[in-house]
Formats: sequence, structure tokens, C-alpha cells
Amino acid sequence: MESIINKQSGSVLCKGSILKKCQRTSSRLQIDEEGEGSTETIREEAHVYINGIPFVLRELHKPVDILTHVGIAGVVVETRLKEDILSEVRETGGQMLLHREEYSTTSNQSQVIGYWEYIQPEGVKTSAEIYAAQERDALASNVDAIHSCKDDSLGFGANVDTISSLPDEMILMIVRFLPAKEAARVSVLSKRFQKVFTIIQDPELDENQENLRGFLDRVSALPELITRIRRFSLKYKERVDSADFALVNKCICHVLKLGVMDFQMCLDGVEKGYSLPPELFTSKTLAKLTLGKGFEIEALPRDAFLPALQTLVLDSARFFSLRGCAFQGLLSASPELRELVIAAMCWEHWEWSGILSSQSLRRISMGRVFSAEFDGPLHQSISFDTPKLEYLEYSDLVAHDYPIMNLPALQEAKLTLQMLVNTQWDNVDLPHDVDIYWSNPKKLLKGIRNVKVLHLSSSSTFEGLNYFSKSIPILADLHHLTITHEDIEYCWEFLPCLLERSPNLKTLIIRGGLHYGQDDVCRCLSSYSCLVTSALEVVEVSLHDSTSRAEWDQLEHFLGKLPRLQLLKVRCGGKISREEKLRMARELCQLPKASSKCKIVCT
Amino acid sequence: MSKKIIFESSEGESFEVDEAVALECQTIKNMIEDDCTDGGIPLANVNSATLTKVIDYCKKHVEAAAAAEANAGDKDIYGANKDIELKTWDEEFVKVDQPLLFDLMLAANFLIIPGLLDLTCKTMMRGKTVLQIREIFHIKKDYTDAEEAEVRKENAWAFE
Repeated sequence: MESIINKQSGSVLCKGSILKKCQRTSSRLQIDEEGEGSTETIREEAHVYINGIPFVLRELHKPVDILTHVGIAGVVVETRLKEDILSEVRETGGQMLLHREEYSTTSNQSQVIGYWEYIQPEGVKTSAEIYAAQERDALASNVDAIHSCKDDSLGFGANVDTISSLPDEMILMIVRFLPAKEAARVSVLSKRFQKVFTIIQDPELDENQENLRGFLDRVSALPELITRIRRFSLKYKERVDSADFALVNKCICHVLKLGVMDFQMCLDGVEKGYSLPPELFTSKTLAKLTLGKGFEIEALPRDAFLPALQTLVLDSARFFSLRGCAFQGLLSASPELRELVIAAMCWEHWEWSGILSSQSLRRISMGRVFSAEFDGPLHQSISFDTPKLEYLEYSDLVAHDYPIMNLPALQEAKLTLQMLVNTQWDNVDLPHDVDIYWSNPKKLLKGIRNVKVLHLSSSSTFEGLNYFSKSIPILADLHHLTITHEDIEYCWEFLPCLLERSPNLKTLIIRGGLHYGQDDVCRCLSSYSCLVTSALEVVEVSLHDSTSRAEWDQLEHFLGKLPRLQLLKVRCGGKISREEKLRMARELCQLPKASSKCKIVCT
Repeated sequence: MSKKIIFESSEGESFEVDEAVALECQTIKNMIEDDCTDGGIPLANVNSATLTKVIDYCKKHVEAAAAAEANAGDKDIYGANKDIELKTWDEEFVKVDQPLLFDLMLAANFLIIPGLLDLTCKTMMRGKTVLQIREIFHIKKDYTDAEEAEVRKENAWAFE
């Protein structure tokens, strides 16, 4: 028998190799338990079907070891194996020596036994042919079904589970491109699909348990085809030196391949010279990207495209423009971006075009670091070209100009502004035509004229509004205004203007107390005369100091002048007793009221 | 004149292609190297409709590679344009009905055309709901309702 095997001269079925029947019987399992055999799984090695039974290629002397064909693709091996079998069958006149494994219960061992079989050339098939044939068979048995739905050609119209008949490798190939979310959905299809993926919600770096390198290695070693990560967050406070940059980026790239949706990174102690891998900007699965400290984005790859990105959070990240504006490039590469958050922003440390343009953005929140030593921004102007923007939270040193303010859909704005004085103004020989302020919010104010809800925060915002109060546009849709301040003595000149130009304002909320002058109402408020024509229905005031009589006295003007007031709510804080509050409320009730329907609440 | 290779589809129809086009298929490349392509290559598991598409794909990619090589010297700053054009072509190419897409995938696997295999696999399930995938592929649910509810609960975030 051995002489026959050694005569073989095929390219795959060569000297010393045998064809062994694939057996997955209980006897094999017993062998496995005793650790003597290896598990045979058809899909891991090349195999041919002879008369419908799968056979694998083995070495005569090591029949249980799996042969691996390094560098030759499975299909090629199988095709060649089939050719070898056919040529041998031609030579022997139809006979072929095959092998099977037999397990003897008496000796508790298994033996490989050779046997002859007659083989017709058409009885030999590669696995690819078998799958194709299975499909055709499936089609044939459903001919009636196909006839009944002619347009729906081939098996898909019939009730054939085409995809489940595929081997695992093919299923993996199909699903390996799916992002984490779709991969997780696939697991609901059937039990087989559930086993395909391991979904990891959020691999976390536990700084007590492992170091950065250990964590990066652990994540990088997750098997690519069958693992999906939903969220990945790399937050590390310790020093990261340049020797680890490659490891960090390798890990990021791997996580991106695993279909991550939510990616957060904050490396507090990263050394200078670190740059993010370009793959981060070409991810098809990223829905949320958060970049914290330590990142400088100089240039985006040319094929930057983040089709799934909806939320972008930049905290202290910086932009440079080696090739065009990298910041605008990132926005342009994200056609589905809905929300942009920029925290601890420093325009003067950014190199950018000054234009924020996005066709998809709905929400922007921008907050800057106000530093005392800063004496003038590099940027002359900022533009918002965001036609779908609904929410704008803008906290900044007011720029010199806002050339483009395209915000037609704006619903809500929250402004914290700080004015910069013109440096020439300090000069003793001041020429008369020089503006006091370098900052100019005129176009910014005009740009937000469609808002329904407006928040004005900080006394510094009032400074700009007071000076530019004539530039406040008609806010026809504004129905809700909140003003918050921290300096009770700072004048409110802008308020009468703002109220006059908000014909539909219904609710006014004042936080931080009511501003007052030395004798009653401050001159800046011109005796609150603007309230007489106001449409305000609800006024809510949080008192700065509820024990001060002066603030309570201001309320008289709201009650006595607002013709449509329905509710006056006074928040006193915890400084005064409940009895005192009740007494004050009673006192307020006795004051003359312009609106008979007005309710008063003190809390 | 370049060398021609003849493919024969499962229906027995012959397709003559340039050797360069046939070389896009790793399986065929191996056969050409082994010099066993005389008298045509029978592809018993690829039908004519699928084979036509496969040849279209290989042709386009051979042409694109040649064009890219010719233009390699004078890339402008928007150098990726050619790639984008080919990508768009690929996207259009796989806008076919599901059975043909499935056959294309099997053919790409059998002939070993990595680009086409990736492209077809990518298109197969992407962007479809569970219900759509079940309907298109007739995947039989082997969960009990309670089991399915459990799996759905585990992956609830994916259905948000």
C-alpha cells in the first residue's frame, strides 16, 4: 500500500500523502478529549468531495496533523488536488486508494485504514463546485416557486436561505466590512450569525491594573475579522513619550478596523511631535469623535472622508494649515456632521481660514479660554456659513468682523461675549474717528435675528450690547429671553432697546439680581418705560441679594407697567425665612398692577 | 497583438479576453504560469451573465491601473480624482440585483479577484435592516422569541 502512495506524482497529491475521509464522529471526540488527536474542521483546510463525501489531504505517517499550504490559496489547492485525483483515476482505470480513520474501543486508539474505491470523474468536486451545485439543487427543487414569480429570477425569489449555505469564511468576508452597529444587528439574524462576531462595548484602560503599553497591545491583539468595538476611549494622564507613538497609532488603526463608532482620545502627557494616524480621517464607521488635549492637526489626508461622523468634539485640540485650512477640511470631509463642540478654544493658536462652513451642522457649542494676558487676536474675522444650524452657543472674544453670517434656521443662541478695546485708544493723542472697540459684533447680532430663544450670559456681554445697542436687529421670532450676569452694578442700557425690538417676547428670565441706581431705577433703564408696550407674560427674577430692599423695589415697575403679565416669579434663595417670603409676596400683591390677571410667586 | 485567453462559461459560451485582463484573477494567473490554459478555461460554476460582468470589472481595473501609471508623473494637488472616478465606477458596477451580486461574489471568490470580492461582500449586507436581510437572503430564524428578545436586549444600542 505504501508503495502506491509513494508512486504518486501530483502537484498536491504527492509522494507520501493520502486522502482521508473527514470524520466528525463520536469516536473523534473521544480522541480529542484524550488529547491525542486534533479537531478536524472541514473549513480550515483544503478538501475535495468524492462521491459527495469530503476528504482532506494528510501525510501517511501523520494522518491527524493538518497540512497547511503556505502561500497557496485554498481554491487553487483544491483545484489542483482534483486534477491530481482525476489523473490518477485515469491511470488506474477508475480505482483510487482512500483512507478512513477507525477507532477501536478495545485498544482505545484510532487507526487509519486504507480502502479502494471506484471513482467516476464527475464524482470528484472541489468545495466551490459543491457550493455552486448546492445552490443549483436548491433552485431546481424550487422551480415551481420560481415559475410563480418570474421577474424575481434565480433563487432569491424562492425561499432559499442562500447565505446560510455558505461556508463560514464567506460569511466572515461578507460581514467583515460591517461597522459595529450593523454587526451587532446581524447577530439577531440567527444563531450562526450570533457566533460570527464578538461585540465589545467599551474596552477600558484601567490605570491601576495595566500600563499604557499593555492596554494598547491587548486591544491591538483583538482578532480583526470577528471583533467589533462600539466605543473606544484612550485617556491617559501620564507621560507618553515618542517611543510609544507607533504603538498608539497601531492601536488606533486596529480599533478603526474593528468598526468603532465612538472614539475618544485624551493624552494629557503626550510629547511634542505626535500626530494622529491618517486612517482616523477616513473611517467609514466613526459616528462620534472626541479629541482632547495633546493633539495638533496639521494636515488631513487627501482622501479624508468621514461619512458616518455626526458629532465632533474638540477639547483643546489645535489646528495648523500646512495644506489648506485643516479645520475647514475636517468639516468638509464630514457630510453628515450634526454637532460640533469646541471647548477651551484659542483662535489665536489656530491657523485657519476663519470660516466655519458646513451644510449639515445643527448644533455648535464653542467656548474659549479667556486669558488676562491676551491682547488681541490674530483673526480679524469669523464667518458662520451653516444654513441648517439650529443651536449656537458662542463664547468668545468678539472679532473685528463677521463677514458671512448664514444662519437662516437658527432657533436658539447662547452668547457670552467679551469686547476687545482698540489698542490705539489708549493713546493720549487719540484721533476722534477711531472706534473705542476693536471688536465689532454688529454682523453677529444681525446674523442671529431669527432666534426664538436667546440667552445672554455675563456682564461682559452687556458691555458689547450697550455700546452697539443701536445695532440690535428686530427679533421678530424671539419669545424667550434669559439674561445672566454677575455684576449687579453694571448698566443695562441694551435692555430697553432689546425689549422694544422683540415684539413677540413672552418670557423674560433674569438671573443674578435686578440692576438698580442710587435712587431707585438706574438711568440706563429710562424708568422701565419700554415695559408699557411689551407683550411679556412671564417674568422670572432670581434676586442677587434677597435681603436688600432695593432689589425688591425694582419689581414694582414690572408689576405696574407690564399690561399682559400673567406670572411674576421671584426666586429669593435661602437667605430669608419662609415667613419673610410670604410677607414680601403679600406686599407685592398690594402694589398697583397693570395686568389684573397677574399671579405672584415667591420661592 | 497581446495574447488572448478563452473562458468558457457554465452554459458553454466562449469569452475571449486579453491575457492582461485574465491576469486580474489569481486563479487564472496561476494557471497561466503553469501553462495550462490552452484550449480555453472551462468555468463550470460561472454562468455567462456573471462572467460578462467579471470580465467588465477586470477590464476596467486593468485600464485604470494603466492610466494611473501613465499619469504617475504629473499628479496635481487633487491627485485622488482618478481613484474617486474608479470608486464611483465600482459603486455603479455593483448596483445589480441580489442574485447577480451573489453570483459575482462566488465567482470572485473562486477566481480569486480580491478587489471584486471585497466590493461584492461589502455591498451584500451593508446598510440593510435585520428584516431586510432576512427577507433578501431568506435566513431562517432559529431563535425562540425569548432568545431573540435576549439577543436584541444585549445589542440594544445597535437598534437605537
